[in-house]
Amino acid sequence: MNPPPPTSTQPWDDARQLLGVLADADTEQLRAAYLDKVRQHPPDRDPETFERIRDAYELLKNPRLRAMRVLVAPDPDELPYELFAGRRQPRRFTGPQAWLDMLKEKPA
Amino acid sequence: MADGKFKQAVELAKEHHKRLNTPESESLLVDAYIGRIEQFQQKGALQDAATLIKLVHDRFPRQRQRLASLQADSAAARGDVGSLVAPLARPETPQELKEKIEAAIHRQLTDLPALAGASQLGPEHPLRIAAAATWQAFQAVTSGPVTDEQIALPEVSRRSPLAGWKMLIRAIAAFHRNEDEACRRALEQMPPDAAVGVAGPVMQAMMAGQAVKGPKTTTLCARILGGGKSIRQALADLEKSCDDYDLVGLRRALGAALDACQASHSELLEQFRQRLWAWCVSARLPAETLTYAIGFVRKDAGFWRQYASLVQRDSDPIHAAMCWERFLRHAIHEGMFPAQSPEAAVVCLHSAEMLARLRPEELKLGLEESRAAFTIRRTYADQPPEIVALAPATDQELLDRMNPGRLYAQAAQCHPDVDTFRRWYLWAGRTDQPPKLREEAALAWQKALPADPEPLLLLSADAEDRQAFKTALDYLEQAEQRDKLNPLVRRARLRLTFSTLWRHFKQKKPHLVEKDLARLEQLPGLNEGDRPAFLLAVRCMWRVLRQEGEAARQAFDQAIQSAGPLLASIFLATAAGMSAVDMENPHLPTPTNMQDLPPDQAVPPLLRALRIGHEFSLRLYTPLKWLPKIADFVRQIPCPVSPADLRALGHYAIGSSELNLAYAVSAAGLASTTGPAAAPFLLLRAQAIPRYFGVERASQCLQAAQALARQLHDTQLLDEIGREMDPLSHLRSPMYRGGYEGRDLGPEIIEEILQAERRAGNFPRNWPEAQEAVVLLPRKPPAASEFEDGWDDDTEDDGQHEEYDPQADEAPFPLLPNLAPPAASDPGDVGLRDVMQLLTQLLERFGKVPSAPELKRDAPDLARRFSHRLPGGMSLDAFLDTVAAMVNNTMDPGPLFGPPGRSKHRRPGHSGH
Repeated sequence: MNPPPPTSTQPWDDARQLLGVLADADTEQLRAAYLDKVRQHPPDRDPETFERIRDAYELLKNPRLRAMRVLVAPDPDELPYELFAGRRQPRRFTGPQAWLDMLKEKPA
Repeated sequence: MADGKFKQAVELAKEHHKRLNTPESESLLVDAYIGRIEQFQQKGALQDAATLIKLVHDRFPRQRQRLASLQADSAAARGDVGSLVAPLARPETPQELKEKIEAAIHRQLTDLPALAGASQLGPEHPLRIAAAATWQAFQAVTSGPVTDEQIALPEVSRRSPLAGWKMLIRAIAAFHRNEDEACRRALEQMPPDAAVGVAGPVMQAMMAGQAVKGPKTTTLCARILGGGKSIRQALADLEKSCDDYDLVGLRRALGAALDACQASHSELLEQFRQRLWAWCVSARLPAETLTYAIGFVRKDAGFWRQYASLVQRDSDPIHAAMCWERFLRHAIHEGMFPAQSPEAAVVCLHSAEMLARLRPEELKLGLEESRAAFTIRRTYADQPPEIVALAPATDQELLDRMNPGRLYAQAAQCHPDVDTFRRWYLWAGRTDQPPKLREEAALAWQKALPADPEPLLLLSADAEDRQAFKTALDYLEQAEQRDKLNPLVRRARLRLTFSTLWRHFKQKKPHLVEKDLARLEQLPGLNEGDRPAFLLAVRCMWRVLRQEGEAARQAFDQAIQSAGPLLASIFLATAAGMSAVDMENPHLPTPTNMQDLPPDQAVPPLLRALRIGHEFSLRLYTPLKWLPKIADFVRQIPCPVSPADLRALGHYAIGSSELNLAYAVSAAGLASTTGPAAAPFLLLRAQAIPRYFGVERASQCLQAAQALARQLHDTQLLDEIGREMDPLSHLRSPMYRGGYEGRDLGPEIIEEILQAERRAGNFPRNWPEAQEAVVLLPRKPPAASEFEDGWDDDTEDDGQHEEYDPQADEAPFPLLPNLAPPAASDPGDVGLRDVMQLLTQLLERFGKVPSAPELKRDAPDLARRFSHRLPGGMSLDAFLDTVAAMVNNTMDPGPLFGPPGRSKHRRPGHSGH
C-alpha cells in the first residue's frame, strides 16, 4: 500500500496521549506503557478502548510508521494562524521610567 | 462655606476678622482658607494650593497645626518630597503629623526615587531605608527576571506607606513570568487608595489584551507588548485582500503581518515568511508584487518540505521528488534526523513510491521535460552561504537520483526494513522493469537481513522461473538453513519439488519422476487427508509415462478408494494437465464423467480438491459446465460452504480469471460473515469487480478490507490486500468517488460499505451498476485554529486600495525564480488546472457536488475562488449543475472546457514554451 503523505501529526500525537508516553520514549518505555494500558482496559472488558490502545501501539512501535511524521507539512491553502497558537505575546522589560511615567499620569 | 463657595467665604472671613480680630474670627478665616486650599488641590492647582498654605502658615502661626495634613498632601502631590518628609526627621514632630505625612506618601507619592534619595531623612531613617530597598527592587523587577528573594522587601511592613509599592513589585514580577493568576492576586492585595493603584487596571488590561488610554500608559503598553496591528488582524486583512484581489491591500497586509510577527514573535519570523510564501504560491498570486513584500525566504528544510508538499499536490511527482530530496539533504544537515534513520528512509521511500507509479517511458519523458523546464540550483541564488553549501553540484546530479530503484535502495540503506525491501521488490517485479532489478532487490534484502528467509525464497522462485533449477534449489536450501519450519519455506520446498516433478514429466524421464515422487512421499504431512490420493494420481501418471496401463489403473483405483471417484477423477485430470499427459493416452485410466453432475454432488469434491490445489500450487481441472453450478450452489441461503472453503474457492476463481464466480463467492462470503471475518471476502469482491469501470468500488472494498484485516492481525491477508492496492494507488484520488486516500475508515463507514456490498448481489456489467454500491466518504474539514491574542491597538486602515485589473495581470507566482512567465491569459479563459484543483477541494469537503447556495453557505471561500475562475458570463449555479451532470455521466464536458486536446492550461513550474 502507498499512503499519501500525512497532513497532520494528529495520529501520532493522539497515540502518544492515549498511551501516556513522551515523544522520545524508547521501545521499552513504549511497551511498558502499552502493557499498563492493556491491564487497565483488557479486551474482554473494554474491547473498543483496547482496539484503540493496540492501534496506537502499532503506530508508535513501528519505526517506519513513527517516522512518517517527518513528512507532515502545513496546508499551504491555510494562513498560518496555528503557528502562533498557544504562544503568548512576549512581555518585554522596559526599565523603571516608563512605569513611573504611567503612575504619574492622571487617569482619564 | 456650606455651599462650597470658598473664594467668597475667604473674602467674607477676611472682612469679618479685620473688624473683630478675635481668635474665633481667626479660626473662621483659617477654616475658609483651608476649604479654599482643598478646593485648589482637588482641581489640581497644586501651586496655588501651596502658595495659599504658605501664606496661612506665615500669617497665622497659632493655626499651623491645622495645616499639617494639607501641607503634606500638597508637598506629595507636587512631588516636593523634601518638604514632605522633612518633618519626619525632627524628633519633636508630633506623631499625628507623622501619620499624616505617611498617609500622604501612601496616597500621593509616585516619585519613589526621590523618596529613596531624600537627604532630609538621614541614611539610617527607617523610611529612607525602606524607600531605597523598594526602589532597588522596582528597578530590578522592571529591568529583568528577578528571584523572590530579590523582591522580598522585609524592610516594608504591611502598614508601611510603601506597602502598595511592595504589592506592585510582586505583581510586575508575576506578570513578566506570565503567571497571570499570581499577578492578579498581588494586585488585589494592593491597598485601594494607594498612589500606585492606577497600575492595577493597566496591568489587567495588558493581561486581557485590551486597549488602554493615556499617552504614557499607551507608551508603556506598547513597549511591553509591542505596538502595531496584531498578527491575527493582519492575517485576516491578508485573506480579505486576496479574496478581493486587491493587490495594494495584499502588499500592505503582507507587510503588516511580517511587522506584527517581528514585533511579537521574532523567533518565528523565518518560518512565517516561508508559510506566507507557500500560501501566495498556492493562491497563484502575482509574483512581482509579492516577492518584494515577503522579502527573503530562507530555503531550509522547512521550506523544502513545504515546497515538496505544494508541488506534490499539483501532481508533479518528479518535481516533488526533487524537492523531497532537497528536504532530506537539509534536514540531515540541520540535525532533524540522522542520515541512517527511519525518517531518512521514509522520505526516500515516499519519493520512490511516487516515481514508481510512472511507467519507465513516462519517467524518462518527465525527466527530460524537467531538465529543460527548470533548475533547482538557481533557487539557491539568493541564499546565504551555509544554505548554498547544500545545493546540488549540478541539476543533472539531482535528476539522476530521481530513479525509483536508486531511491528504494537508498531507503533500504537508511533503515533496512522488511516492508521497504518488499516494496522495492514489488516495483522491480513489474513487467515493465528489467528482470535483473528484481534479483538486485532480493540480493540487497538478503545481504541486509541475512536471517530473513523471504528474499531467498523469492530468489529461488525467480531462478525457477528462468529454468535455473540448481540455483533455485541452492537458494531454497539456504532458506531452509535459516528457518526450516517456516510455513513459507516448507511450501516453497513443496512447490519446487512439484515443479521439478512436472518438468521431468514433460521431459519424459520416468526414472527422475520416480525419484521426485519418492522425495515427495518423504515430506512431512504428505500422507494425511487427501494428499495421498493426489500422490496416487501422480503415480498413476508415472505409470502412464512408462506405458504401464494396468499398473496405472491400479494406482487410480487406490486413489478412488482413498478419496472417492469424483475427487480422484479431479486429481487424475489435474495431474494429467500438470504432467502434460494427453487425456486420450490409451494407458490413462478413464475418470468418472463429471460434466453433468448436479451442484450438490460437484461442489464438495471440488472444495476438497481446491485445498490440495492451493497447497500444491496446482492448476486445478474443473469441467467448464461446473462453473455456473458452483456459482448457483454458493448462492444458496444459507450457504452450505464454510467460510474457509469459500476463501479457497475464491482463490481458485480469481486464479482462473472467473470473475463472475469470484463475485458470487464473495457475495456468499459477505452474507455469511460479519465484522473482521468479512475482510477476505471484501478483498475477493475487489478482485472480482472489472477494473475498467469499477476502480472506485474496488478501491473502496480494499480500504475496508484492510481496515478489517488489521483487526484480525492477519499479515498474510494484509500482504495480499497491499499487493492488490498497489496498482490502484495512482487512482486513489478524491476526484474518484470512493477514493479514500488511505484515510482511516471508522466502523460506521466500514459497516456501510459492507451493507452496500451485501445488497449488490449481481455481478456488475457496466459503470452505473458498479457505482451503485459506492459509498461516498466526505473528508473531515480542517480543525479551526486559535491563538492567544496580544494587546491590540485601534489602528485603522486608510481604506485606500486599487481594484485588480486583469488586463495588466502579472505572471502567476512562479515556483522557481528563473522561469519565463507564461503569456498573459485572456480574462475569459478558464484555467483548467485551477478549476480542477478547486473541484478537488470541493469534493473533499462535501463528498459530492453541492448546490450553489450550499457552497456559498458552507464554503464561502471556495465559492469566491470559483467565481473568479469561471468562463465569462457563467454563473456559479450553472457551473455546478454542469459538473454534477458530468459526474453522473449524463453530459458532455464541452460547455466547460472546450473540445478535447485544446487545453489552455500550463503546468506551474514550467516555462511557457
